[in-house]
Order: sequence, then C-alpha cells, then structure tokens
Amino acid sequence: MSLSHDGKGMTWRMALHRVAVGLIVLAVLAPLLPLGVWSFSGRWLFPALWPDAWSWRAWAYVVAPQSKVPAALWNSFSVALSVTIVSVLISLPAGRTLSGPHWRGKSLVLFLFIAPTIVPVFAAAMGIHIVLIRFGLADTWAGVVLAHLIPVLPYMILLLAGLFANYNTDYDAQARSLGATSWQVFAHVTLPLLAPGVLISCLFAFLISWNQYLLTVLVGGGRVVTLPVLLFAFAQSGDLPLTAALSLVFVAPALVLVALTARALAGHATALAGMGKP
Amino acid sequence: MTHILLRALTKRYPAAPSPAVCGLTLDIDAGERMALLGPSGCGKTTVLKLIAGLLEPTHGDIEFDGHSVLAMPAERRDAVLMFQNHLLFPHLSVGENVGFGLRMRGESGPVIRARVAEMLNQVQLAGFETRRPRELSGGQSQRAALARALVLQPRVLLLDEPFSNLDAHLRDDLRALVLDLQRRLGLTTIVVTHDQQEAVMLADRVAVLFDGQLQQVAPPRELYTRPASLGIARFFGNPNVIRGLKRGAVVETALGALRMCHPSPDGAVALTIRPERIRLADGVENTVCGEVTHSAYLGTHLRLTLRLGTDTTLDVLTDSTHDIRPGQALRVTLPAEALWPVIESA
Repeated sequence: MSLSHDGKGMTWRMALHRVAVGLIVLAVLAPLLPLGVWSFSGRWLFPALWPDAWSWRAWAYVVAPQSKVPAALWNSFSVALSVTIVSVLISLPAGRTLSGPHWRGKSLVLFLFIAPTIVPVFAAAMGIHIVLIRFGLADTWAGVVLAHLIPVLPYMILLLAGLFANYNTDYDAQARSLGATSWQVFAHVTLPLLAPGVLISCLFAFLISWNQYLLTVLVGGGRVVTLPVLLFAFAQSGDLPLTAALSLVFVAPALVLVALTARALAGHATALAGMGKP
Repeated sequence: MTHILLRALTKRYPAAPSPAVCGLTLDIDAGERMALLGPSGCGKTTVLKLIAGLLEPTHGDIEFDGHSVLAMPAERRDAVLMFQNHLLFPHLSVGENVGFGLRMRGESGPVIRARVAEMLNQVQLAGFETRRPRELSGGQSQRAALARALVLQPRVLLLDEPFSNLDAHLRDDLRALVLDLQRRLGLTTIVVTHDQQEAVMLADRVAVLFDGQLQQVAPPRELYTRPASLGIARFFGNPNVIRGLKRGAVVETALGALRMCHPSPDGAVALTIRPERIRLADGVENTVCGEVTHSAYLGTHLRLTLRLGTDTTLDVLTDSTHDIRPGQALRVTLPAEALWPVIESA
C-alpha cells in the first residue's frame, strides 16, 4: 500500500521484518484461539480434541441486558478513562518539574511518587481501604478511581519525566521569542511535540487501571463491579465457556488500543501490516 | 527602528565560578547591525537571550528606545531570536512555521496566508507552504527560520550563529539575503558569531567579548587595523608581534630601531603588523633583512616566512607575481603607519 511495499521493491530486510511482525502478532493472538473455541463450545469433555457440541449460550449471556457484563464493561471503561485523564493531568506538571533543574527535596518527592511500585499492593491496599472508609469513598466509583491512581501514577510520572528530560526546551524559547505566551507555548508547541509519548503513557495508564483486580475488589467492596472482578467470579464458578467469552471481551480493548496507538505512532499502516493487510 | 541600550548588564548562573556576562554596556543605534564576536563560551549567546527576555539579568538594565524592558516578558518584547539550529517546529508545515508568530498574535487566516506567501517568496522558498520541515535541506531550513522571524517585522532581530551549520556558498547566499532584508525592513539587528569574517561582513560595528567582558566596540575596519589588545588582534588572524622598548617615536627591537607613528606611552611595547602590510623593501626606514624559510603560493598571494636573527620570524603576504624561493635573502619594509601598539594582556 505504501510506496516501499509495492512488489518489486521487496527486499530481504523487508521480508524479514514482515516475518518478525507476523511472529509477534501470532505470539500475542495464539493464546486467544483456545479461548475463542471454548466460548462457542456447548459440550467439551476430557479426551476430545474438539468440542462435541457448539453453543451461543456464553455469548448470548455476555450481551444480555440482565447479565452484569455490559455494566461491568462500562465500569471498567469509565474508571480506566477517568484514571487516565486524572493521572495525565497530574503527571504532566509533575514530570516536567521532576525532569527540570534540581531543587531541595526533589529526590524525596520522586521517592514518594515511585513508592507504590516498591510497596506490595496488598500491604498498601488495606491501609488505602481504611482511609477511603473514613472519607466515605469506600464502595464508590470515585474511590476506585482514586485507588487505581496509586499504581498508575508512578509509571505515568516516570514516563513523562523521561519525555520532558529528552525534550529540547529551545523549542519553547523559540516559540516565546516569536510572541507565544506560556500557555500558547504549551498548547501549540510543547504538547504537540510530546503528544506521541504522552499517548503511549496514557495507554499504559488505561491498561494498568483496566487490569486492576485487587484494589477494585477491596475498595469497591463488590458494589463497583469491573470486568476483572466479574471475570474472577465466573472463573471460580467453573463455567469455562462463559469465562472464555468474558476473557475475550476483557482483552479486546487492550488489543485495539495497542494496534491503534502503534498505527498512530508509525504514521502509517505498519501496525496492521502483519494482520493480513497487504 | 529601535535603539537598544545595555547598561552594566551582568548575568551570573548559579554554581558558575564567574559571571557569563560581566558589566556589559553597549549602545546600539536604531537600525544598526551589531555583531557580538568572541570565542565559544564567551557569553555572546547569553547576551542575546537576555535581550530576547529568555533569561533575566543578575544586574543591569536593557532599554529599548529609552524604556527599560526588563519587566516585559519575552513574548511582548518584539525581539525575535533566531537560534543556531533552525528549530523549525517539526509538527507544523513550513507555512505554519512561518505563520506561527502571526497566529499567536491572533491574525486572521487569510492575512497570515498572504504574509507567509510573501515572506517565503522573499527568502526564495515560494510554494513551500505545505512541505514538512524534515523535507528541507539545511539552507532551506535556515531560510524558513529566517522567514519565520522576519514575517513578524520585529523591533529587534537577534541572530545566534545563524549560518554556522551551513557550507560556504550557502552561507554567502544567506548573508546577502539577511543584509538585503535587514536594510529593507530597517531592523535593529544583533548577530552573534565566533567567525570574525562573518562579523566583518554582516555588521556595521563589532563588539568583541572575551570571558563575558566587552573588549572593544568598533567598525570592522578599525577593529582589524587598530585592535585594543593583542588578544583582539590575534582573533582577527595572526599578526606579527614585535616587542621592544619605546622612547619617543623610536622603538628598540630585536630587529633594530623601528619608527612608529601611533601614540603610545614610552616603555615596553608590543607592536603588531599584519602580514599583508609588510612590503618588499622600497626605502631605508624600518627596513629589515632576513632569510626566507617558507614560501607558499596561494594563487592571489604569496605567503612567506622570514627568519631574522635566531628567534624572530615575520609572516609576509605579498603579491603572487613575485617569485621568491626559500633560502633567499629578502629585505622588507615595516611601514611606520602599519605598526600598531597593543596592550599585551587579554
């Protein structure tokens, strides 16, 4: 489709590149294939290599209004999106300050920010729960968002600090000299130049929140049901077709987001080249 | 046209042992082209950033047309700095880059498009609006950056080593372009450079800075022929240096007694003379005799090295029509008016 991909220019390097991309995609998608088969199986007993009977039951339940899946999907999505937005708003200034010149107490602040990655989540989660109960945020959607920010922020801040550290601030100086106010510099120069990196960081934030189980269960107290919470319940109940269907629903946004971001970053269809597109 | 006055300007960076700029006082006329010349690390770029408002001075004042601009943020000073690296914004097209400042000012789309097209035309990049910066060559990038600065018709144009990343013929083209546009727009222009040739070609006056301190401000010709110190003289190509003891109009040197005509206090003195000012002997006054040790044919000129006595050599640049070979004895004249006394320090 792009110029370098038309037939006669196919070199060894490009062929190798395609094979590598194909293998990576296969490694990511292959484990999902048995899930696909399971989710449509009606009866599948031990020595059989293939299900004896097929069924729509699992998928019918997933999309049914009385099932908890659509609500859980919405909870997961709204929590992850809110966590992403709040964390990027906190991490942009924090990352910028932490990447800048030294000031008293900078190391301490940095340490506090990354502390959640050092302390085991389980140890912290109990304390978080007690604090949130005190503030009346336990068992609420907002409480879950707040709790998710704890594991998300360290990664966000470190990623964005790295981004700012590599940023050539002469671009900002140039823009100011051309008459841009501080806000205009940020909106028209700094942010667009950092956008690809910020986008990647947001993707991380979204997925970290999307994957949270323990914090959601503890803080949400069973009232805020997200996909992982539901998935865990089904997995324990032993209904394998339903668990498989839900797992596919759970993993879908991650795959879509990764593919879209990769596509946006590459600026062309490289990300999809290995997915059967010419 | 804006008159700029720098008053005892000092900039000290935290943790730096000495100030980057120290007590710089400089008066730049409206519409003048001033070059700040000095070796790298002498504080030239700091001066530009101070004037642009991108740095705050530790002491001193900056006045535009008699009014201090220290309280004015960079974006309102209307003093546009063009960096050494063109710094075109990579996420914008060439047209959007050139129109950036106008857009920040809130000009309307059609006005911006018209002015950008006109400006691109002036820097010979007509029709480049939709190109991306990465598609431009070095010279084109620099021209686009120049257009981006000039389209604002700023009060002051600040150029930081604008052409040092370009090869020689591109540099000449761009210098001519800058001179032409600067004259037409009547911009007060300050150009920072470490290249004395560039300073001489671009500027009405040149301010020489060493270690953050102003050494001399003068028109290029005067700086070349009448440097205030040996350091400045050396910065403008290597002059011959003859040390001696001055009494009246005569200096006793290792080469014999030389007459000089420029005023200087009696006592120890260092005389400089440019290689091209030394003439093949045509009289008796200030004439010395030596042996040619090197002779290099340069096409337009002949460069000779002359040894006199045991430890004195003179570089001589003469007409290339002469055929002078190493080993030959040669008499040369050091004209009294070409012997310029300098301060040894700095």
